[in-house]
Amino acid sequence: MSVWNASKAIFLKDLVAERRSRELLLTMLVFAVQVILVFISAFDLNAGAREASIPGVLWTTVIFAGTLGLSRSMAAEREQGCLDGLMLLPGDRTAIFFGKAASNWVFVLVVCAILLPLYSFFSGTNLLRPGLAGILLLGTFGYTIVGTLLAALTVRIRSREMLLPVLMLPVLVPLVLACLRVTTLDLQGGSAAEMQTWVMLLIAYDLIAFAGGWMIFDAVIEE
Amino acid sequence: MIQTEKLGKTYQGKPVLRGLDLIVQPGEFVVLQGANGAGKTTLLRILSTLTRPTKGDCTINGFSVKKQPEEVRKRIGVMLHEPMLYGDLTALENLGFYAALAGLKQRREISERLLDQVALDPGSSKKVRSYSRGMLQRLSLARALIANPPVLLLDEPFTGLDAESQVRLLHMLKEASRDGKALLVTDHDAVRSAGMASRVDYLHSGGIVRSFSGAELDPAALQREISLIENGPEKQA
Repeated sequence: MSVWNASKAIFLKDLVAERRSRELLLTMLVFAVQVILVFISAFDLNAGAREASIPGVLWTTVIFAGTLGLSRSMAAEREQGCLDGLMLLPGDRTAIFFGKAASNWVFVLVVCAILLPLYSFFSGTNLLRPGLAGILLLGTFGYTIVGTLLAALTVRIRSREMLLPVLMLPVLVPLVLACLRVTTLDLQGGSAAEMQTWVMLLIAYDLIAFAGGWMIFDAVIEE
Repeated sequence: MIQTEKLGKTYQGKPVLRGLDLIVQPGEFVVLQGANGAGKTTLLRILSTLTRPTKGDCTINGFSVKKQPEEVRKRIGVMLHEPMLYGDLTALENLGFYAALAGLKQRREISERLLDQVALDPGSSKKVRSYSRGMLQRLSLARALIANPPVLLLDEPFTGLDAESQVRLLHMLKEASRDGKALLVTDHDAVRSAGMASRVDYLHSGGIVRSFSGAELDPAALQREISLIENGPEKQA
């Protein structure tokens, strides 16, 4: 059984289960919309501050809503002992990492796809831009890779919901910084040359996170 | 074949298994008995590569659980306390998923045949979440059998089953044993164990202290002997 086929099976299983329950996406979406509305209300009187806050609000919302989903996605595998079922996979357990990371990424992207037009409407700034879509793709990729790895690390711990953000946020600092900078530059009409360094940092972070996850997941998930 | 050599497992400084030696040959149906906390589940988790042993090693058809866990997992079917089934999927989807993980080609056909064998409706659109304990146990057994593994490791498979389901499960296990599979099953019921096993091993203080086979597998005698091990001769008298 190849890692690719097993990853695909896990990814599709997650999509089917989520289509039935809608538990994860709904939770993430409701939370994300609430955060956006709180920020919009907070910056209502000051249009300048509102515009300047868009990158921060956007990424804060994506990261915190995503954390809810990541924690829930891995915790769901513990119900009925399904995590053991995955661990009994007759092949390389890295497939669990790839499959879960892929489905988590799709869920976060779905939230982003609904969030962007909504936030555009409320903020009065057009956020439906190809550049921003690219930044979100790169940023959420690294985020879900790191998040899936750390969710796997904390899945057997009782206080995992609290522990996951505490562990994850420090690791995400370089990624968040790069995402904020490049989003700000994109919204301000910055040139490609200005954004290049930050985009390279994002790509490097994604690659390192991916390679790191690939190498250590088996050890992380083991009891 | 299952073989353990001087297998040891310690949890937080407390030894659960101490130098356990065990052999289960192909076609052999071994029931593992022992009091709660004797280490039965720990042994099955080690054999299924879910837990690493602290000392010693064990092999499944010659493959070491420590050094070749992937090869081991290709050769085992495992049923633990929890059914390892996804509540939001149907029975057929659950088996299809595990068949995909096992790399099987004719997933639907195999899943449908197994569902028939465990008397569950392959066409049912009911989510597994709404299944009774007995139905979950049967589906869990079908999941363990999905890749037709040569070794079956089953932890308390009769728990929660009604009499009819127990008979059906027993029949399936005996058939698997006749097919040449090595079966290691934990169970609490001495009478049932005597009726189904080719050997009953009693686990106590982290090791197998007594093995019963042949004429020793008389239900009343087995019950008496196990009671003697558990309570000692004084209490028995």
